[in-house]
Amino acid sequence: MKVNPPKMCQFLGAVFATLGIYRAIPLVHGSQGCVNYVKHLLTQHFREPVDIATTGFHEMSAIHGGIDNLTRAIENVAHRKQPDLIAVITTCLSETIGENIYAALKKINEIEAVAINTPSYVGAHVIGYDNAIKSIVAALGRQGERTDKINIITGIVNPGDVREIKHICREMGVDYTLLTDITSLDRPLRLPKEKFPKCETSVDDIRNTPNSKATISFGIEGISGAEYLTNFGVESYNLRFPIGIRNTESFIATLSEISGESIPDSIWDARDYVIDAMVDANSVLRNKKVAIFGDPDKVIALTDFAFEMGLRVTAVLTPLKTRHFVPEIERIADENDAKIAVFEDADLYQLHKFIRSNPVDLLIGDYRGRYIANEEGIPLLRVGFPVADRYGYHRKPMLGFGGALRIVDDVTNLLVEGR
Amino acid sequence: MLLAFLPKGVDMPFLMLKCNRKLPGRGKHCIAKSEEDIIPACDRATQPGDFTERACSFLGCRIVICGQIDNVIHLVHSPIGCAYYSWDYRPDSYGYCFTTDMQEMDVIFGGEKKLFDAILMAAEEFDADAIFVYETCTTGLIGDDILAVARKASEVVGKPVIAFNCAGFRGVSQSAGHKIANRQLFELIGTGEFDSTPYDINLIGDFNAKDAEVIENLLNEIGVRVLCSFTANSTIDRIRNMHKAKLNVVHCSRSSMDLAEMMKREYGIPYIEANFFGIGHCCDALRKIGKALGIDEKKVEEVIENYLNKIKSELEFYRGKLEGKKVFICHGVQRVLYLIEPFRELGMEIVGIATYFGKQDDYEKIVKRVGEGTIIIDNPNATELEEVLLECKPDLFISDDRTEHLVHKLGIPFIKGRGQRRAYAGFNGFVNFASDVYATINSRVWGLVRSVSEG
Repeated sequence: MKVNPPKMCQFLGAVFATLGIYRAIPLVHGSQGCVNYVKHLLTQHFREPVDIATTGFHEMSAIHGGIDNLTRAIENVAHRKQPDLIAVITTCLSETIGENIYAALKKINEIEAVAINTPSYVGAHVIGYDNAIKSIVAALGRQGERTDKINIITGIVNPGDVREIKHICREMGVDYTLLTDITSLDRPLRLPKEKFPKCETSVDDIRNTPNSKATISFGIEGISGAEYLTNFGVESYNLRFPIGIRNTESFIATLSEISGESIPDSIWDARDYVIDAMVDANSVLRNKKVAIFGDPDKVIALTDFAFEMGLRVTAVLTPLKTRHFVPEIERIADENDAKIAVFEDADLYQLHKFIRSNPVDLLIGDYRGRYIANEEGIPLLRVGFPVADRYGYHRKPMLGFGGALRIVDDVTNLLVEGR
Repeated sequence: MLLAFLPKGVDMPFLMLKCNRKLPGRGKHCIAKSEEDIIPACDRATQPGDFTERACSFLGCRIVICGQIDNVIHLVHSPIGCAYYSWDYRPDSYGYCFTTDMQEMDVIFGGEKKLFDAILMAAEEFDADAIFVYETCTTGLIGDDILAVARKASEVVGKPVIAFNCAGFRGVSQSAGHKIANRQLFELIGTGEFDSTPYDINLIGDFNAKDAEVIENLLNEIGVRVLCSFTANSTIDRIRNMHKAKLNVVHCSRSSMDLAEMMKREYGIPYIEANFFGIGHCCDALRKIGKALGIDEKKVEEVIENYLNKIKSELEFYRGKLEGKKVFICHGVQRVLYLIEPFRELGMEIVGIATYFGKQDDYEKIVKRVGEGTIIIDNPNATELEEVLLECKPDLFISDDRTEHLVHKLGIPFIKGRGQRRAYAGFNGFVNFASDVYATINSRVWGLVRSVSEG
């Protein structure tokens, strides 16, 4: 049994990846409830309309199979929206029945449709995201003339984070393709309403990804897609999430190495502003005990950053089991003479029990940390996805120096207010 | 005016929306009210590929009915998704998430053992009045017998363990889940012992805690005690005692009529339909309940009179400001039925109605209550709503969070029909509602939304 597990199911990750492609529609092959829930969560976080279609499984389709529903659904979506891409995303329902959606999609010619397998009884949202990126790239990618572009697989991050990545690339003069660009879920309000929310990544951009110079991915979120692209001679650089000083530096150094562009003063300025803020807040931050939870690779990078800020991380938790999590946390503990309790494949109730007997000054994670924070009376720094009980957190970055500055300021103020 | 977008050659009263042109199946679900009292096609499965706002029976059971009951462990027998997304689905709710977190091996070999262990663990770790176990698509498909597991576990833990066969693929919408929940919870009723009075009632089918509290207080004023608000503000103990009531007041008949019927058959408790939204409805409800329980008419009228005097001037102010404003209502069917009259009381004009899972008798009622030309859509989807709203440009759109952000992006003032920060039921609640409607429509921000040429 899990109590308060901070993980979502695979198909949410696939929906997330698809929504960052301009004129793409996710079509979820399952019960209409699945779509309702994910849509609900996404709209609570982003406060934007989200178009997700459902094949609407019912009792009969559960018994006799839903391929007929799927074919009709694709026609329906094609007529209604005329998208450039339909991503057919499976659920535990269609996976349990064992539907062969690949065979069904072979018969669809009039519209581009990609199948993404995302059984929710395996892994979690970050795995679904990874599967989606790989499936989309594999289905759409076409070998052609080499370009100077760098593919950047962002992982499940916020529009604020994507803007940080774009900012860094622009400052450096690096040409990029984002897989994918979720700024589509943070759009200005003006009339008339856009038929499809704008973002930078088009289906054509994705077709062209096998011709890029290199792919940068962060942790496990997108690694399969990056590895797939190495078949086309696109070199894969798998980094830590650019959270905090050293991790952001290594992202920027990698961009510089691949592109041959030098690092401009504006980026050094941005970095040194953060250092200034960290030094100013040192008396507040140093020695404060922190627990961090969330997606494995973001927790690793956040833990790195926490120590850079002078915080002492005493516990980390991730809902998954991954190859790198424990060794990475051990590395950080060694580097900082720290003892960190590690919870893998765990739930927030386990962390709660740990914190009850080992109190901390601050909790970092998504809004599901509120149960621990409320009941123990400790501040919670809301980062990542989802943050459904506050407004505007999708605009707040965690990546890059902009994200670092925001985190330093927010953590400091939370600790000051809590005193 | 509203008939303007009926292309020539299409029979009244069906609306052929541009987005539905190639999808004849949807055409009959959208009508403009005509003299002939034709209703939209309804109670059918969603067309595959629609951007529907409907949900599944798991939602109807877990969130709508059961989610409101206090101090219960809601254990979702599923892979992570269903459990996570139903966890505090309503922004104002606060509770823990319990799940068996089914993995691939469990799906292959069955999850009954895992479920049994989970119930025992939950009972040991948390002091709850009962444990509710929910089936979902996957566990329904693989055939886990959750009823048997719950029975066995209940004997071990010594408290009610109630299982709900509410897999998402059952039924055409969340409505199926309401029935499943009621049927199971009915088993709890009658298991409590308790001294009742001749003025005890149950309120059935109110799912908003703030509203339920207001209604309970209002009924107290005419000398009526609410034994249980099913399920807002309810506890396992209150549900156990529901059979002691002299009357059931059914608030949402779509979700709860079957429970009232079952209680009538089993315990001989009569029921009436009533609601407390809007002045007219509120007065009617008090009078009906008073009459059914034989309460002195004068006492009831006194309470009503008193409230009407208190809120008169404020309501007149809002009515003056809202007169003639156009409203589009998009909600579960019961709330739609309750909202029509109150908007009239505010002098507003209803230009459109959409419901997620209305049935034939619901639409018959709706059609009778609205003016000619009013658009009525069954099981609306985002593309249809967008087209209709651009056409009829209401001053206000009232719905729940499903459509909020779509409507905002169209620059149309939006309000939720469920009072979240304060109650909308009762006399004072209606003033709250009027004041929120007024403040929404008159927010300066709508005037700041720019129009730009496309490109």
